[in-house]
Amino acid sequence: MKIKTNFGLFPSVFVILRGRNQFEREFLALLSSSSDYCVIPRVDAYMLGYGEAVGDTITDMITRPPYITTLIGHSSFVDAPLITINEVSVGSLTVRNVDFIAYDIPQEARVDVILGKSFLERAKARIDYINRVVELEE
Amino acid sequence: MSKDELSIKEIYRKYRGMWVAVIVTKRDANGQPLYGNVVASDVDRYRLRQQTTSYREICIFFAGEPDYPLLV
Repeated sequence: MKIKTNFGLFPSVFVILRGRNQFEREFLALLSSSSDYCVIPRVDAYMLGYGEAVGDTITDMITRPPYITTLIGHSSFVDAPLITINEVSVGSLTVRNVDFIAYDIPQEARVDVILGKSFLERAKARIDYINRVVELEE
Repeated sequence: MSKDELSIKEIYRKYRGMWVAVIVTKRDANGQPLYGNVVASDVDRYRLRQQTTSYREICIFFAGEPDYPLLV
């Protein structure tokens, strides 16, 4: 199974995420091999059934739940929930149980979702920057 | 094709600079959206989410390119 699609200014594909509650959210996702994990906005993680993505209760802040992980961002350390999305699909290619960080990228970036190495490695992604083509393979 | 259906290129033109929520109606061979019905649009992605909570399946994207370089 091979997916081959063109991209514009940045490497990107439309990707469908299926969560615990069988809801689906589709995004135009940026492909970034410099990100260890994929990234999803907290509200969308919540809509897919991952309530821990918006866990801002006083208990969460005091006890630091085990699903919170610390990441190195571009200018600081970031604490964010690490969740596992049930299915990530691009066309007929589906990868199950993909790790995502529930984190709100500033909306000025005009990108909601990043597909990082936790997806790209498993989808055997190849990015041709000259011809602006992305290939994914199962 | 319904009268509200637009191609993704048309959506980019008509809703340039906005976040859009689309019900996809047709895809290409690689599963990438070709046509859809826009059910919500907003310059603010959080306000857009408020309009899409009732949908089980929805496609969300920004119709345009970023104003700034993405990463340094």
